[in-house]
Amino acid sequence: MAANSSSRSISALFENTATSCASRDFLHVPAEACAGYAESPITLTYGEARARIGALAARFEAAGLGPGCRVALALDNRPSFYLHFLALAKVGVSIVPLNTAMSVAELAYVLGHADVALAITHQGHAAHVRAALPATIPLAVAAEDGEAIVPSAGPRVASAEEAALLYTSGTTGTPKGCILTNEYFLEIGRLYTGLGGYCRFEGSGDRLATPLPVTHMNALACSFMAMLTTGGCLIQLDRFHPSTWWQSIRASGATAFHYLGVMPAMLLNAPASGGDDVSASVRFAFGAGVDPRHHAAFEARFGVPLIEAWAMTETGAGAWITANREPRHVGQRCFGRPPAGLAYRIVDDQGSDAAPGAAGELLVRREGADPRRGFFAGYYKDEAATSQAWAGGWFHTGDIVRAGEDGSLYFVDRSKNVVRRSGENIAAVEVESALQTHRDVVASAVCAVADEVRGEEVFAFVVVRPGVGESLDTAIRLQSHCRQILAYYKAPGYVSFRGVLPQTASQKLARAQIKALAAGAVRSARAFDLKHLKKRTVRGATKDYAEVVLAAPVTVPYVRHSIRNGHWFVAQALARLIKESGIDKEDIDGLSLGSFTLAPDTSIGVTQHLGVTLRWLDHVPLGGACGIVALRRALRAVQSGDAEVVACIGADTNHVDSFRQSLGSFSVFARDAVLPYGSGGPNASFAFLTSYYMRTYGATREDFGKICVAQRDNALRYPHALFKKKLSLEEYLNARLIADPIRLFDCVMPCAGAEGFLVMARRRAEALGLPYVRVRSTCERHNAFPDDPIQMRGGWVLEREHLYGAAGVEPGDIDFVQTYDDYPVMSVIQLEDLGFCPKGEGAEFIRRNSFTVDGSFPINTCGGQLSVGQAGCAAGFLGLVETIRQLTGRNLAHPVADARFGIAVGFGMITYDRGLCSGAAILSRADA
Amino acid sequence: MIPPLAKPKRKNPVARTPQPLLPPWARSRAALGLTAAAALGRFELQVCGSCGAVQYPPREACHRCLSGPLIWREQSGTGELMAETWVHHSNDLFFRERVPWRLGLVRLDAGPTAVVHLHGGCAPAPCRVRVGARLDKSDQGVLLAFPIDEVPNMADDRQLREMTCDPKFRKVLVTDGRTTVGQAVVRALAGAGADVVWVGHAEPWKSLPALADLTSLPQVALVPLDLTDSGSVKEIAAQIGGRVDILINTAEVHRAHGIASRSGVEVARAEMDVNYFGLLRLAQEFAPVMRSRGADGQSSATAWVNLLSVYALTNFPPHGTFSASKAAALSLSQCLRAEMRPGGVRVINVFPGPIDDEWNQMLPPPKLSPEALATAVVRALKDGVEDLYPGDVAQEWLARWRENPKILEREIGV
Repeated sequence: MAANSSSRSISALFENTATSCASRDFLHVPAEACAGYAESPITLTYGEARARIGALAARFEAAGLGPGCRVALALDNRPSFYLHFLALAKVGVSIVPLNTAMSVAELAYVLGHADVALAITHQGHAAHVRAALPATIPLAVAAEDGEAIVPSAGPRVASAEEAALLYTSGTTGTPKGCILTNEYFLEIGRLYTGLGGYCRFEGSGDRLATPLPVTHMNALACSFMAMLTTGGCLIQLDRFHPSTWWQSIRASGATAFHYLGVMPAMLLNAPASGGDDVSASVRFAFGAGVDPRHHAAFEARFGVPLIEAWAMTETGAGAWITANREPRHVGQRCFGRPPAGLAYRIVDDQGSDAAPGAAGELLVRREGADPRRGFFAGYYKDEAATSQAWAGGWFHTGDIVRAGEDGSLYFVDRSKNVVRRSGENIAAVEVESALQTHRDVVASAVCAVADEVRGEEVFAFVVVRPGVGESLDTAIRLQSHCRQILAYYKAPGYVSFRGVLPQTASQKLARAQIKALAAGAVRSARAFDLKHLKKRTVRGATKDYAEVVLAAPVTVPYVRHSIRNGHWFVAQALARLIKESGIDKEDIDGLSLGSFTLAPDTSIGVTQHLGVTLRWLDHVPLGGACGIVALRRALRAVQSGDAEVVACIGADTNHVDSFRQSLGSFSVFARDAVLPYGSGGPNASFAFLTSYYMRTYGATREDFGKICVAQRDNALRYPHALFKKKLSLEEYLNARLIADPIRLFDCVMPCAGAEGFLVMARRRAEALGLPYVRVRSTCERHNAFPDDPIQMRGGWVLEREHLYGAAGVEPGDIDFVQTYDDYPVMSVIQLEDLGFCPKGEGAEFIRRNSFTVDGSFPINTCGGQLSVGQAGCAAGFLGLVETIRQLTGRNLAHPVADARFGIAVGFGMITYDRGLCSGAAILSRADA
Repeated sequence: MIPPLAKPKRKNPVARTPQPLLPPWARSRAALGLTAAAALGRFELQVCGSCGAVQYPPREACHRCLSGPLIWREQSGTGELMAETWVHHSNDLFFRERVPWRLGLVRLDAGPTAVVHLHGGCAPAPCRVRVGARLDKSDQGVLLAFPIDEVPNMADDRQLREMTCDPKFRKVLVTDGRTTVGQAVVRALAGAGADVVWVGHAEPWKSLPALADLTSLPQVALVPLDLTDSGSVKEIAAQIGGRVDILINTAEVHRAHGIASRSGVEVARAEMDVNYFGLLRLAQEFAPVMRSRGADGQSSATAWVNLLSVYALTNFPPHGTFSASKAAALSLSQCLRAEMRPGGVRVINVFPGPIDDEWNQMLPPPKLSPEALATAVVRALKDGVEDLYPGDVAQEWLARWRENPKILEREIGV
């Protein structure tokens, strides 16, 4: 330990420790904490870590990164975070840890502010981060637990001393970047490991567990630096799992752990058992904010002292107070006596010293020549805020404390406009700003209310516009609005409506009074409790589709009208699938059908009609989404062995009158609330969307026309397109009006036809010598964003991260897209929602690209429905079948050069004012 | 800007009369709640009794909490017009004849988004609007967005007129001009811009000063019409039936008796002969021709108004036989309504409480003045409602009857 106290940088400290402790564990992740990306627990020794860090550092250096650069890391609590941190530290680069729970808007602010040269994330967050990242900054995607590829270097703006730029929520609404130097980190390591008392470290046998996020100073600097300093092992969990906590602690051999107030509360909830005491292995727990009622109970039951401490990102080791020795005043919110060298004051609202024993704001600084020693170096690009925090030569903590007679400090309250929920600081002003952007909100006031489980919860008083119902419905809408702008945990857990908000004489919000009113409203249940709707949207990885493939794309050529019925078209498709694949009819044991024109039959009637005996049958009446959904079902059926070869077919006929008739019976809502308005079919709905999009985002008819004209060009090179004449922009613009601003060539033409493909095991396809494509990922989402007053986005927004994450690709890797082009505005919305351009920039994107099959960003390579025709449910298959053709090289249309990845999109069921079904599939060439 | 309605040119007698068409009428049972409220001139949406969420389109269960009951509650209708369109193409025959047709998408302040007919006075999207419910040509409830503030010639909007029965420039038959109510209705119609008002007079040989006053109005012409005489009804229908756009049946016989207070059935029969059989005779002669003229140009046949009584809902024993005759007429009017619907001609039933006339002399106020009743009738035509309960007494009876008809019967029968 003594050798390490002289290290001058984090990297040097690591090198020293790694040299002396090469074979000892550096980092351990229990199995339950890495289930999402690894199959077994992860353990890295110092030696192993040093090798990987060295290799990674060399690649960073080769890419031109060096002192002064910053790199954003969105790697969650994975080992790769620490490997990247240390590798970047080795080459003198500072990191900006990103909390991926932040919304795109929040991330965009941080990324825009921090002047990073590069952002690194893993696959699961790539789409999310990409959406927030300025176009000029490259994004590197690290393998699940591996190293990133570094594409390029960037600006050098940081000081050579800087090790990290850590954003805190602050109290003013916008996050502030705290500049943390190497010395800041080293000081924390020295201080923490030298505390003594209950916080006893024993050197290389230490194993310190933490579930806290690496985007907070606690995990980033305290636990991590302690272990680097002592040569112990950091046990990093992805987050706090109450049910498996003690199992993690025991199995990983933890000798100490870090906690937040919410953890003892949850752990005490579990029924007590004889084996609760862990004092034999765990020496202490270090944290803050334990509920006074839980403090002694926890220590008695589990045999571990909860050592309360106080520090802030800004204060670091400069002002760090710990109740590591008796008297600890257990259960009284005491965080110990200030150590020697730390000067402090407790001041009242006027800035004067509070009376002895009275509560007041805590001000701190170092004694001696350098009052800021150990503190952060300042807020990045915000000298004013830095000066304000240090006003009068004292650092203003914002925390309300009082001093006891023996010099112990007691925590009284958070500064009035911060909510501390489960360890996250949430600025009231930030939530208020988010609420304020909602059209129904006139004014709002946000404050903390006590919460049994989370310590505090976000409470919002809202004044709504006259005429807006003060209902649960409105409350939910406001919360959901906030969740779209802010990280999920910042959205109000309670909403209460008021006519006016209490104000001070100077017209400012009377925060103290508001806080009291809020507590009263919660007690008397006069606020809408929406806590249950605040959920982190994490999803376990879905099983991939390895070993199941798609083959034999077939098309029954489209005709405008047919006197055949739907069954005939299914039969034709099936016959073609058999011919194309060489599989006997008897060997097709699964069938998934999408059709609107089999009535009164469903797919079961078709089995007898066509003489097929099946052991797996599906009927997917989801219109334009039926292809994607049929595919998803069929893949799992083959994967699980329920079927060996599934034929997926979309088929419909079109008699002269069938379109009109199908409209009349399409949905209850259409019959009740659309048809009586003269709006036959979805034309008027899409006229609304199109005009709203044009007005809101500045798109023009010419923009939509460009897509239609480009698709027609593609169609001229595809034999089955019903439209065989070139379309000029002029013809598009002057076509017959259908529903203003929609004209004839904005609308798909109903027709008859069928599409199909087979789903089977890869070895089966190979045995048959069939060219095939792989399915990298798929998604479906139905009735997404039901509270949006008008559909400007679909379920793809919610699925995007999963879609790209599971496929292991990014939008930039996609070679072509088959949008669901029932109307061009939907193509634009899909391109936005799938991450090819930000929301609202679709028009700009159109102007930048040609969309033709041989141009930039090919879409609808066979012409799409707008030029091929919309053969009922086959429209849900058109893009999929064309994608399979493109990626197997069996093109009927013009091939996209060297295409490896394609997306087919499904969208359907305009039962009222919007399309309810969204789906997409990323397919790849067999060798991609 | 809504151009003021111009007086229609004379009809070309050689041209074929277009057949009436109706907009799509099929509705789910839940959606008929909107119709039921619109029939009374109210805009109501389902509100969840558990969580307060407002629903539209109508549903079977609360979309928020899945519980119920869903209660139909009156709405202010204010909201924001998010987007609009002019539909130029429709596969529906009714709309095909009427395109371009203006539609809007409105985000109601109450929460839901609704597709609505859009009044011509609304500014282009985005703007604030007020959504109301109306009955359309097939007597089904639809939503229509109006400008927040009154604009000139509101009622003359082309789309709105498809849902209303405005007497402006229309020819009206008022079946009996001898009563104070009949006379007030004639004056109100003249004031509302009716083109012609024929006024029935059962005893043309008798000179009545009040009738003479009416004929001084340029639009008014007396016609002989005795509802107790099938021949008389047939004769007048042959003369003017093909031109009547609105028929208002004001004829009634009203005597204040129950059962025991008078022996014999003569008075009751006289009441039935006018109040019930009179309606039946009129319907047999006038309804077929009016129904065939439901789309006869700008001033097509549009409405049939029956003067009933709120006593049609529950018998008022002091006027027991009169109540019974009105109940019979109410029942018959429902048959008439079903038969008139294919022609797009609305049957409006008026349920006044006691009218301030000689037959209600013994009843205490409040009583409905004939003028107030006449104004309400014209208002009902302009709004296109189906059931009208004018006056405080009628509104109170309706509320009591809707809450529990059995309780009302007991309260009245004491």
